[in-house]
Amino acid sequence: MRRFFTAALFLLLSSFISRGQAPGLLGLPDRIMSSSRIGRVSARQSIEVPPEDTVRIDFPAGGTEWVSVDYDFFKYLLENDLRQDVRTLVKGCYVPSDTLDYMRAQVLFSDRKLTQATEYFSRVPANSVFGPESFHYRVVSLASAGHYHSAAALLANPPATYDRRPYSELFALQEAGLALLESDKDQWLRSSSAFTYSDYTLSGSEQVLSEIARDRFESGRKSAAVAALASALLPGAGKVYAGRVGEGVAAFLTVGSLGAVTAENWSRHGARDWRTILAGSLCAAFYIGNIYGSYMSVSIENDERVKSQNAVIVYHLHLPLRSVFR
Amino acid sequence: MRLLFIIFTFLFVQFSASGQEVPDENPLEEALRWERVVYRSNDPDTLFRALQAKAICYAKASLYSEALRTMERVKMYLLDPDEAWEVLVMKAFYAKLSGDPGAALGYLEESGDAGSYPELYSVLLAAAWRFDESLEQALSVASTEEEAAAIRELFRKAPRLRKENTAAAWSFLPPGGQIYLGKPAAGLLSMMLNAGAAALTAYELIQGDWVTGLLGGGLLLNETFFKGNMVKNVQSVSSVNKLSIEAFTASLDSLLMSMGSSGLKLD
Repeated sequence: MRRFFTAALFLLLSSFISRGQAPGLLGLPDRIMSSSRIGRVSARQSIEVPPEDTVRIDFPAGGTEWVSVDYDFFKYLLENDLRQDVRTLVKGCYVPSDTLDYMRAQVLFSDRKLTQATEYFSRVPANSVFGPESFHYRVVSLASAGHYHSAAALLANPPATYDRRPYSELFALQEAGLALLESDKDQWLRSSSAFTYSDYTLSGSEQVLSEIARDRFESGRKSAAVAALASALLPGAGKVYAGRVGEGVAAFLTVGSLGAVTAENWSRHGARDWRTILAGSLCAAFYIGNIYGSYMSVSIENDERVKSQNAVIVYHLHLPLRSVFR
Repeated sequence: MRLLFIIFTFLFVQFSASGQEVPDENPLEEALRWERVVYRSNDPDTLFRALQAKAICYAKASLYSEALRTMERVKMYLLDPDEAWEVLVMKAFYAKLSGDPGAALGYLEESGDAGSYPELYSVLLAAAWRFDESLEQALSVASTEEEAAAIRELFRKAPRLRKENTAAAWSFLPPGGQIYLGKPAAGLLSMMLNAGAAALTAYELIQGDWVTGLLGGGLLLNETFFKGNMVKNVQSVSSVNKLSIEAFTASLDSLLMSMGSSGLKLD
């Protein structure tokens, strides 16, 4: 009986490992414990950023009308969130112009067609009335698509004809935000030194970025290794350390119960009895799974935290633009 | 009747609202032209007619949610009772077509004239699990005794509204919960698993292995009885209800349409 169990277990494990499914196998007990009613206590929802829409829109090449006569109507549509109408409007045949490129870029940006939006923002000349706004939207568009480095490079090298003096604090805000996105502490310190916290269009975003910077650069991050060690010493402790109290309690109860069952079978039937081996194997699987799950939880928690902070940073790179360029 | 009303509304808007000529074009471009009328006008009547025409354009493009949203922009307090009725009926149609029968029923009943649209009203009432009223409306559509019999037959097979508390109560005795939800095969499997878990627990307790019996059996029964049976059954109540009522209303919809009704679609 025992030989049969051992052989079956060996074959099963070999099959999983040879298929590269070892992490899934290790994580299975952890998923079982985490999905329990106790495990779901204090579970968090992660921030979901909508993905970039990469389907390109083909706009007609030219027309006889100037779009500038429709600019106020365009603003009215945007302000009233009439997105279907605004999409139809910019698909119309108009004489090519910087206004048309700006309007199309805005619509593409609000539809999260970020690559195409960046392209259209870049077509607006720096000396156009829409030039500064398009430049800063281009930075946000690149940052929203995750191209932080390109956005920072663009901000560092604005077009020669662009006079940045009226927007120096906005420049500083965007530079500081991008430094945070790239976790570049020195650049953050340089850029944020220009924050005045007095301009009402920017002060809210400056404060939010400063809070994120404090958390990112000054507070210590949780260590995955400490979580794993804590769970090895006391099952579930690593999960509690990761901030998942419910999962920690569920892990403690499950591993503790299986441990007690193993101990009882060992004392009553001996170490080589199949019941001891079965309960012991399950206990070991859940114990190891909890250590692995605690390690992964901290990594995931850190990643989720950075991800949600990055979403907030990108939002605050965008938020002031409407007020600044009103 | 409904189709006539929509056609009348559309033609009325085309020729009387703003005096503008709208050429035959893409419905979305046409919708944008009507939005321009809204943008330029301050006259409440023109605004109402333009929004109504715009909603029809969206409906022609099968954008029923946009059509509903457009009708929701109409300021109801500026309308006379007939116009308010028109708006509510249009909202009911668009809500139904955009997949929100609850809102559609609300608009139709608010119009105070739901009985004028018995096919639509019947389907919406059925979607709200109000089968007696739904049957009454559906029977008013039937023109022959055979049609009435077919409707009665369909309503005899109407689904039961399953409740979470009842599902939980039945789940105490597997496979009661699954049978209550109309899943006997899953019930049989659950019963076997639970019987196995209970037998193993009892065996361990009889053998005097108290820790194994209580803790091990508890863990096992937590998986098979609590999570795999009770929680699962309670969680599937809403999806079972949704699927069964959707299937029933679809059957009712097609039955009523086959009875020579003008149908529930605007186009």
